[in-house]
Amino acid sequence: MYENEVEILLVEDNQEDAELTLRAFRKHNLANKVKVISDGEEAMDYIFTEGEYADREISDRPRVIFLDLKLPKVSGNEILKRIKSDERTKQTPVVVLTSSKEDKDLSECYENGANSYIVKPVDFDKFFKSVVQLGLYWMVLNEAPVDGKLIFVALSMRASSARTGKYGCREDKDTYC
Amino acid sequence: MKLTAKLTLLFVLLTTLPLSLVGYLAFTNGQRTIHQNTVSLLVSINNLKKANFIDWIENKKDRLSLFAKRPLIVEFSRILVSPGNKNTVEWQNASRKVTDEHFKVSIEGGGGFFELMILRPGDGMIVSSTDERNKFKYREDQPFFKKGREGTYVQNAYYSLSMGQALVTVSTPIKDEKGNLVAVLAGNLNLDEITSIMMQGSGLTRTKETYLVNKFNFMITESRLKPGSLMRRAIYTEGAKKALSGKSGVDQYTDYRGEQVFGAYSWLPEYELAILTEIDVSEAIAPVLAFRNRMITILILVILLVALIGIAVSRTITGPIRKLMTGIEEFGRGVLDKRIDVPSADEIGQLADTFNRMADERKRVEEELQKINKELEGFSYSVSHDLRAPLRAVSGFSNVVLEDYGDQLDDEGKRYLNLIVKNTSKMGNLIDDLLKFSRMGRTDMAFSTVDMKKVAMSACKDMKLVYDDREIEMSLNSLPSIRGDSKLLHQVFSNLISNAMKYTEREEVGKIEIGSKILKDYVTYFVKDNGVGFDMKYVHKLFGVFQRLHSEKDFEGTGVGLALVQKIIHRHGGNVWAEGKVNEGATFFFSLPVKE
Repeated sequence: MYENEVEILLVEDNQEDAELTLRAFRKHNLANKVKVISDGEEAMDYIFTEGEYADREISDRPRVIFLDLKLPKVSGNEILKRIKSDERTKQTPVVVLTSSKEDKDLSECYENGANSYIVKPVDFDKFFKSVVQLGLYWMVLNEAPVDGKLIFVALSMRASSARTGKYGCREDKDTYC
Repeated sequence: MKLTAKLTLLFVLLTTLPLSLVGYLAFTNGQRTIHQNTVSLLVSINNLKKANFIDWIENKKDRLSLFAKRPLIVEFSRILVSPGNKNTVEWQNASRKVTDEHFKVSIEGGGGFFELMILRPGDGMIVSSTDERNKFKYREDQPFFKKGREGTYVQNAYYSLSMGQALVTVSTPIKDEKGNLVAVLAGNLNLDEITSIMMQGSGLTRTKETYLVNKFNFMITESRLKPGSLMRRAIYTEGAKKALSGKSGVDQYTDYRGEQVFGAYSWLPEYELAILTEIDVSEAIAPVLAFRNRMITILILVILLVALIGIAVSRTITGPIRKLMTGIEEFGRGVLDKRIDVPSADEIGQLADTFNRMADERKRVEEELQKINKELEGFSYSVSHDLRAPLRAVSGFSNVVLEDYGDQLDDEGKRYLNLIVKNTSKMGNLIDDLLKFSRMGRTDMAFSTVDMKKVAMSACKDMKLVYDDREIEMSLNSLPSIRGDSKLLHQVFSNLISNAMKYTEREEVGKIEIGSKILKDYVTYFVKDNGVGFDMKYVHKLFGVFQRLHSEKDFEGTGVGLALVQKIIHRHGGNVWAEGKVNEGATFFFSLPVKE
């Protein structure tokens, strides 16, 4: 796993948001293994090694995926659904990024198996903190999926403005959350 | 009154009124006829009995005078009346022969007399009688003796003291061939015979009777209805009085028993008797009463029948109406696919068709509205996503500039950039509030009985956390529970309490009072503060979106809070209003309907 080419996959069609997010990662030395994709279809190809990414190994999966809901061609929710219903990819934590506060979006995301959900605030300072915290959290968790609950609790307390829902703890979700 | 009841009543009235009228006419007509029949019946019976009585008595008179003319009777009488020789064999012989061979034979032969006697013309002594006890008694004072010397006479029903009974005595003179008075022949008549004449044929009725009354007002025939009246009962009824004063006629009056009767009365001058035939009014008019009762029974049956028919007929009218009513009710409850099937072509059918067309139209509009609503939803979704992205960029890159190039900027440049960041964040808040406001109009409400006190308390707690640096004196009075969406009502209290806290900022101690007032169909809740208040001149602007009565420098906010409160209360079918005075605080009221 340490040989992963890509540790963080950021699917974001807004160039400015992507740039600012990357800047935040960079500040925390997380940026060297970040892959940015701005198109839903391309993201699908990348994750499931199809199309131009056909020669990529599917087991070479990112440790965490940041997924915007509003994407060209294929929506974030469709991608999320496919990731979580595919045996090969469903282990990968997905953090949904969105501008929407609509309850409908939120519940749909969790139903589709999102691990976390961040509403992108206008105030970027808050956004930075959330993204970085969640990025670190899921990367650590994905590296050592042993005592998920403890790390989850510890980190989610720090991730004050990030919402980590009941699907946050994967296998043992019903027991722990 | 319900339509069925109205129609039924109308049916009943329409049929029973003419029926009652006809019944009444028939009744009065029948009553008159029966009265006339009764009167003529009584008169004819009275006349018949009168004739029977006269026949009977004349017959007795004839018998007696024929008897008196028998030569043997004349011969024996002469012997019997001669004075001083009653102990002679001849006298004894005559006496025995008269009684045994003539009188007793006549009595036993059924002549109607129960006693026959011969009286001496000089002094009225009974020289011979079938009743031995009367022999040699004097009857010189009796009218039958006095008048009997001159011709055949009837002495009517008198009470004989000597015999201790009531009598009718007929007397006639016994004369010799030269016409000289020899003796007086007298016979006592059996009153039972008159009674039986009077009673003849009355058995067919219950109360009809004919009787005779003498001039001393005594009944001389037995009463059919009160046996034992013979010569014992004095009759002073109107009929008897009129008859005794010589009149004949028919009347209704109270008889000797105290009963109302129809009576025919007549005076028999030559016998000095009144004859009366009476029948109880109750018996006479019994047929009329029976007729009336029959009429009432028929009327009741007709009313019942007509009411049944009326109910059946009105059902055929109200049935479709009820169908229409329940259909409309159901449609009103929101079942937009409800259509009413009334196949008739009458007005009700047309009404149903019209309603169905209206329902189609309504459904179409509703669907259109839903489409528009959906579009609007999509629109606000887009706004929430797309309007924020550029703001985020503005804010984000301003921060980048501040971080990366801050040392190249002077203080004024940094201030400007900070202003940009601050304003983008404010715009973000505006967008959030606006979205919340528009969402309020679209989300479904979950109605339940809401404990308003609990909701207000929870909102207070939330707001105290937000304004934790303030000293607030909060008084929460009793708040009745009401039907509503608890989440939305919580929002209402949060906004009003937050407002109250905000606008009491300058007071040392903020005083907030929450209370309620129960009216008939509404409960009014209020939140009162002692803050800066407002000028009533601008009260109409208070609840508008983005309307603010204070500058943002003084009190921050987006101006959506009260608009949101109004929207929520309106969706509950209630009302909001406010009262205030500059620097003397404000009170915000909202009323909610009391529903079952």
